[in-house]
Amino acid sequence: MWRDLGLLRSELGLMLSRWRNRLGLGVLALVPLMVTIGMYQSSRAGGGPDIVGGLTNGLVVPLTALFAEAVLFLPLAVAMLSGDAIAGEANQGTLRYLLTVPVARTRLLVVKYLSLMIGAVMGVGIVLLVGGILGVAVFGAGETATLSGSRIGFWDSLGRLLLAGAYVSVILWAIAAIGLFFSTLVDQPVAVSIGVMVVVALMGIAQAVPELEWLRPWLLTTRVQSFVDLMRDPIYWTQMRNGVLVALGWMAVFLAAAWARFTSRDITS
Amino acid sequence: MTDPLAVRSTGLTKRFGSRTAVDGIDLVVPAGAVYGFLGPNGSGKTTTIRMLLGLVKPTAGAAQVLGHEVPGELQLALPRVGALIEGPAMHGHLSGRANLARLDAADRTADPRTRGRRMGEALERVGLTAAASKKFKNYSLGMKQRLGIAAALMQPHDLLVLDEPTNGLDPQGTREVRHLVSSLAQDGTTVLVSSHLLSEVEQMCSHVGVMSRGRLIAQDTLSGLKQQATARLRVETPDPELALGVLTSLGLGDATSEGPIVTGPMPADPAPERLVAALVEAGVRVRGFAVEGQGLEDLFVQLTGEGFDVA
Amino acid sequence: MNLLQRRPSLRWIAPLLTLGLVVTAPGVVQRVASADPGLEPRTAEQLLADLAGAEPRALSGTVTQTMNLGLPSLPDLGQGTGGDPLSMLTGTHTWRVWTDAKQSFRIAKVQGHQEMTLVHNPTDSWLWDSATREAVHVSHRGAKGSRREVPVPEAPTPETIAKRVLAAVEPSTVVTTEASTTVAGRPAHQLVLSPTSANTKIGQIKLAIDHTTKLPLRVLITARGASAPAVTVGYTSLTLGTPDPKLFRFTPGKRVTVTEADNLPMPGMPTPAQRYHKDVTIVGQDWERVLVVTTGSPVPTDDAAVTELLGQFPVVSGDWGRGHLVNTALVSILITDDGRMAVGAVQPSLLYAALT
Repeated sequence: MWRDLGLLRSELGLMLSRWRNRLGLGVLALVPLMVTIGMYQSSRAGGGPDIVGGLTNGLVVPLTALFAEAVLFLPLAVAMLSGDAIAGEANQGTLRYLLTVPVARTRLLVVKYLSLMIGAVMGVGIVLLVGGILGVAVFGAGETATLSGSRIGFWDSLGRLLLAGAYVSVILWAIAAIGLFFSTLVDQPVAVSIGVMVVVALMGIAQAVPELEWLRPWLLTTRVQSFVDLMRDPIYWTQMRNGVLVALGWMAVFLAAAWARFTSRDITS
Repeated sequence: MTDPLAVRSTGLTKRFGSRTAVDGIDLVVPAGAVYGFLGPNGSGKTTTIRMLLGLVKPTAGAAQVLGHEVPGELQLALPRVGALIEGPAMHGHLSGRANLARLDAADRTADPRTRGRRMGEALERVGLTAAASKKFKNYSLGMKQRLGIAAALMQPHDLLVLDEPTNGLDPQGTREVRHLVSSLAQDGTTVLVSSHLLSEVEQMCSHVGVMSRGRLIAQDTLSGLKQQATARLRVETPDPELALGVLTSLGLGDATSEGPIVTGPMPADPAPERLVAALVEAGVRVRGFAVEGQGLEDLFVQLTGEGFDVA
Repeated sequence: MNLLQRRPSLRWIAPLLTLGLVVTAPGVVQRVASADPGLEPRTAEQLLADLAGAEPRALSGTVTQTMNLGLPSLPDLGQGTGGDPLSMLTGTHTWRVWTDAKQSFRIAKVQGHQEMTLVHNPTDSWLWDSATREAVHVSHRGAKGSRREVPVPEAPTPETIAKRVLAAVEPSTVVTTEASTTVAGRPAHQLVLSPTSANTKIGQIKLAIDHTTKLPLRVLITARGASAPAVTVGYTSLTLGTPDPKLFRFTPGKRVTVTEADNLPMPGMPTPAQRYHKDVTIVGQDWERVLVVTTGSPVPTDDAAVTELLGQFPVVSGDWGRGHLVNTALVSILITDDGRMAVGAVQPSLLYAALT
């Protein structure tokens, strides 16, 4: 079992060794910086309302940044990572060496998915970490105003922030499952990333089409924003619970599809 | 476990759509052999190797590697197999050593505590110690090939499958790989090495299998094949009919004539001089008589109807 | 070789099966959640008596309203805050309600990423809008420290709707019962009210009444001839017990604009109309009632949004004037060019009659 962890660690090392991925983390970290600057300027100018309540606490910065990135940047990051997962290895030819080591295909798929999950958490984590540090440094660690008009203390809002991160991660895991499946279909990592982004974009479009209203509960892009319910007082769990269930549904379907595809396909690259 | 056969396949077949890449081949690779898997590019060697390693699923037929069914018992067979498949492929942005470490981390049977030592030994053996921390993408083709072999040497293996290991190597590199293969064989490792180069197979291998258009058209020990190919009789005469009659009566029924030339396989007995005497005695006007030695190359051209690349 | 190795295509059964499970799961969960608990049947009279005798209960819950009137989705004139009462006519709306069953309650309308909250306690009423970060405060103390009654708006909870429906029951209604059901995890009896008048578009109103507390848990309004309800208002979760008292207090935070007022404006939370609009009259009786609103100013013709919205509906005219008729399965709305509006769950002819 702990030797499986060795493979996972190697997988994470490989992920972080790519310049592209490091750059991606940097881009993710840029958004909280921009949010901080924006909020600083608007707070000096007297400020208008913002999406997550009054700016009385620096933790509003990571929350706003997370809100801004959850729909596009974080899915994009997951799309890039999932391109590397199987298709990238196939494209480089390293897949055939991993499989003949041997790594059983199901085991490889599990490790790849785990590393995607961790990658998603890292993406969310960097947004929260950079946003949190910048926010607290600039705006202090006071109370946060909730959407319900009440105020909560710093530690309470920190806890809710981590919950928000966890929720967004779960939704990203569902996107990663779709990506992993696409990654088993083709040998071009770029095609996988584009495919995942097309799915994400289609979800965004479907969200705006009245005729597709029946589809709306299933759209991850709509679901991902439900974490603002954490900023209600008391926390409104229903939508997030449903969001997690929907994400689990996507995961189950696409992980099963990835398994069916990957364990039966010929590796000819 | 000492199975007398390292690899055995029966009717192994792979079709990609309507194209038959491998057509019902029966491989027999004895344990301890250096088996040369010879055939021109595109003859189905790589697909066969991929089937043996479980990368490609056979359309029909069965195969056993080290006594285990593949792909059914792949996870039992593969830990005892080292492989270099269709050229080395590693992560370009990682160093040679990091690439080896990654493959070793993927190996459940490998002990991470001895990883450093084993990597060192494998790199030493292929002569890459000095270049171990260079990035893989900066390696020359030969170095890449050697690193691929090093990866296969990280763990002791009962069977090494080397697909075109000398591809792209300079003569010096080719010699090194040959040395490596023979030293491994001396350690008792069975080696299955594919090549489209006859000379290479001739120099390295104890057994040969010849692939052509998806079929295994010959399979024997190297000496056995050489014997098949040893000699041909060539008689030049204006009386071919008469000559054929004499030869048939001496047991050389396979001889054929074309114009004034009669050719046929040359048996060990009767001796050439006796043949000449018999022909002359029967009144055949012998204008020329020769026993021509034939190389494996001629045999294979004859078998496959196509030539081999010479490099 | 096992079966999956011999026939790799069989592996695709796994994702397909999972897909089937995932897609059907919500329906199955719904069906299980609304399963008939097999309660001892109660007669319509008993249920009416239960409703009349139901004590208010301290509770926390979530109320969901789904409107399926067949209206096109209306532009949100309240700039996405849900502050526009028209938006209540379409889509799904969610309220979170807390009450101590005595003098205090809290209603939060969850709308997208915003929230509108009404907090009411014996001394103060607060209306908070997160979109504008404004709070309206109404003190219940009069000028000389005396208590004064503040008209309290009503959220469209099953209770308030049931109350109004029951007021219209006799004599123009047939009351029956249906098999018991489960709402918000609670076993409930079902009471069915069917108007006898042919002029109303309402086919039937179904009330789900909690078995233990006798509280109305859900109201389904179905148009005449339709099978699916046009309006569904019901609890999706309900917990009995006194909520945390701090929920009934409100302290405006920093940078919140507080407006002191005598009465609460109630956008998005319908209030008994007459109380706030002097120009609202009700014509007709029971199920045939028509609400007539006179704004006094004609419909603007230079506003593209208004013109486009109204343009979707047919023009009708009569001796009452000329206007656009929104004729849905359940309600009819007539908007005249001179700025009058008639609304009712009735045939359009009754609207014309009401305007003359």
